[in-house]
Amino acid sequence: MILEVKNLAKYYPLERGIFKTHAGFIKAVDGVSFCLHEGEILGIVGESGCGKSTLAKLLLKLIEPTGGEITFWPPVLRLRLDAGIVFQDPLLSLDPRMRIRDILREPLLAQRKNADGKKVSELLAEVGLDTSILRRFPSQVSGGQRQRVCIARSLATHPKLLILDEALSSLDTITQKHILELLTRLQSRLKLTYIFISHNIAVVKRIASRVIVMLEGKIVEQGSVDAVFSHPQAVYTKKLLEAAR
Amino acid sequence: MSELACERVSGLRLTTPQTRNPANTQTRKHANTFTRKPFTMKLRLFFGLGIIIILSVAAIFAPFLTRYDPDKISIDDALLGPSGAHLLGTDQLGRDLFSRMMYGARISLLVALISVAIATSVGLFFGSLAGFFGSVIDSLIMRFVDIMLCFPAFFLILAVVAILEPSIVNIMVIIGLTSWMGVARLVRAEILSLKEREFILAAKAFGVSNIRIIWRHLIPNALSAVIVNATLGVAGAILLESSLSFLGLGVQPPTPSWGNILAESKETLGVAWWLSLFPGLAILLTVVGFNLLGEALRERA
Amino acid sequence: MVGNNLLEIKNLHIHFRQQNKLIRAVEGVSLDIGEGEIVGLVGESGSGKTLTALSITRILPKTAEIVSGEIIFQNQDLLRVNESRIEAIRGRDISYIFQEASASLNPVLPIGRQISEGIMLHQNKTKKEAGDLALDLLRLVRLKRPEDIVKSYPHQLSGGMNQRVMIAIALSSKPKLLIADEPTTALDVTIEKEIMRVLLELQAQLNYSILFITHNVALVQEFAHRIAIMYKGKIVENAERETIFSSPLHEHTKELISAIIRL
Repeated sequence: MILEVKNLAKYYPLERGIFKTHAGFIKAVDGVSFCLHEGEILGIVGESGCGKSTLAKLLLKLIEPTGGEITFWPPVLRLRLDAGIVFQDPLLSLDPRMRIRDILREPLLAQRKNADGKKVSELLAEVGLDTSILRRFPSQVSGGQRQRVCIARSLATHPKLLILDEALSSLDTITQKHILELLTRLQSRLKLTYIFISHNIAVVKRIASRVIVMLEGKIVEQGSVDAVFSHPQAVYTKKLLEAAR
Repeated sequence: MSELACERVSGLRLTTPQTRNPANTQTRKHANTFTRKPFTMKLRLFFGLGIIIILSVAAIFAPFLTRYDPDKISIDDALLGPSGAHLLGTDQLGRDLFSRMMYGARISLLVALISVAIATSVGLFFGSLAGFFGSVIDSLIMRFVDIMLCFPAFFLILAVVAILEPSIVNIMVIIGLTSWMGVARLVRAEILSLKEREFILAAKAFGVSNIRIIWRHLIPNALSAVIVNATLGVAGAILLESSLSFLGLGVQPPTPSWGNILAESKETLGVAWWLSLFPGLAILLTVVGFNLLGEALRERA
Repeated sequence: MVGNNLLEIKNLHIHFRQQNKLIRAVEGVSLDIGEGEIVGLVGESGSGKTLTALSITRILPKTAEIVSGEIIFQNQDLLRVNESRIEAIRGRDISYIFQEASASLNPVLPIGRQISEGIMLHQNKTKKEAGDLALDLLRLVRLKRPEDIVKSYPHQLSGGMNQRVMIAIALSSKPKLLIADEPTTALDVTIEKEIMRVLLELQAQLNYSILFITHNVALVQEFAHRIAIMYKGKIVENAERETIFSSPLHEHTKELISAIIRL
């Protein structure tokens, strides 16, 4: 086991009117529990507003939970070194005023690791890019290349766990396929563990071994991909599958 | 890649299709529709930069461009009108106005640039702290900004100058320290919106330190707005310096600045129109120049 | 149900200017749309599909320029008719729906007014008649409680509801051609399904033509009569839906089809 989540919750206070009077909570994540084994790919599916992205941010401690526990195993795991994240839109998650070289060096410098040219070109090779793009800015490369840069950046610190938050959703279909292949290859080669968050059930079915279905901040169903998708129990899972067909 | 970007642009939200149409009947004529707006921007950039470059050249090369020493008094030549010998005429002490204006440009521009640099650095510092850390730090800094803004700036400056002695350095520091609040507000607002952006979140996720996030991500991205503001600020600072000097609280004679040349011209307004016209024009042109440049940069950003 | 050609795009060229570089965004596109026909225009981002669609009623962004070509609609060339004529066609005979419905709606006007304004503009109706028509239209796009919807503002509705409102506005003038540019891309899958059902059921009922623009060839597979594949500013393949999927000719078409990830 690499990660255990118990009763995780994140509430946002809801304010009304000009005096911002307290009017209850928005329960973005509401009592979520699951565990993650080393080397597995866990899919999290759900539609916008179901809390899946909030969950990703909670796992990386980018926001503070309202309640619950997140335990990494072994407990010494240094969170920001051993877990990486790839966001939905690579254009938004790369600083528009930084060259790709500097973007890739940043996590290394932040961890006071060796960040020389050799290390950077190794990273690029890992995601199938060549060094010619190092001097460019994010806006000067294609969407697929940008997402590869994001993946390379998250691999820079040799994490064990990679959180992929809608990592394919903003890409063209052909690019999606290529990135999906890259992710599969990296996972088996580097023995990575993935949390693959997506609204696209077909993609999750293709890549994940286990799946969690979320609705309104809660888990409505979880289990192996085969079990959940061939014999869905929850009404919502059935509805999702029906829509994706 | 640029094709990619163009799809983005064209895919942009069209609120009402009716409002966005090339006003042309023939297809061929569509050719000109895209140039119109950028062209006025280019004009502004051209004239703004032109004025500023001419001024800077005048200020930097003043000793080589003038025939007379700006401080050389020659009572025999007092109050001569513009002529071949004295391009812009002379003042009541017989000093050459052209020379004094050129050397005055040095002082006026220097004071304006340095005071804006001070204001921008102070504003950038407080603004980014307030925007990034929020909560208590933000409240403290912004209340301080509010307090500073409560004083009518010009009278504050007048009061301070009256206490301190009005040297060039003092003027620069005082103008700088009383005009950073706008920059601070601007930077804070920029950073508040920038820090919610995903790439900042990504940097945090990779363990980048707060200081580094401010320095490497937030400030560079807020900078274009700050530069526009600073450019417009220079225009304001030139006016401020001129006003102070005009009131005798700014740059002290005999050091020439446009403001104090204008001040000295008061007494001879009836007989020597050139003494007030040319410095006035210089101030006007410079302010217009910096404003044009600032607006062109804003449109570009 | 497919009749004569409603719209013919002939050899369209569009150039795009970006940072003083000229980009040939659309290079000789020809495309016919029959009466009552649903044509899927499929391409990746940057292929020029959106520019092609916008050029039909000349609502291109300022940096884009139609260099040459013809767009024939009802025996007239839309690229050469005068401004008042194209304004009359725009929003009456040809309407659009876009990806971000909430961005296409005015945030400070109630929904009812936004629908009835178009009706009053194009159909010469009184305020009362237009208001009633707005209610009918909202029922048409299967929105529940239309009496409440007309009074609400875009931010109070979900993305799917806003897109239905956009469809209602687009259909208010009984258009002959509906241009739908990625209308469901921003929506959840379950909502996408519902929007598509509304759009297609109404098409069967009202028999307007649809030019459906998407990057997802799997989406148009279910309903388009014909599919045109666009790649780097050109239409590389244009055939019946079945033909495209059973025997794709162009490499890019094959790639697009092989990239579909099915459940």
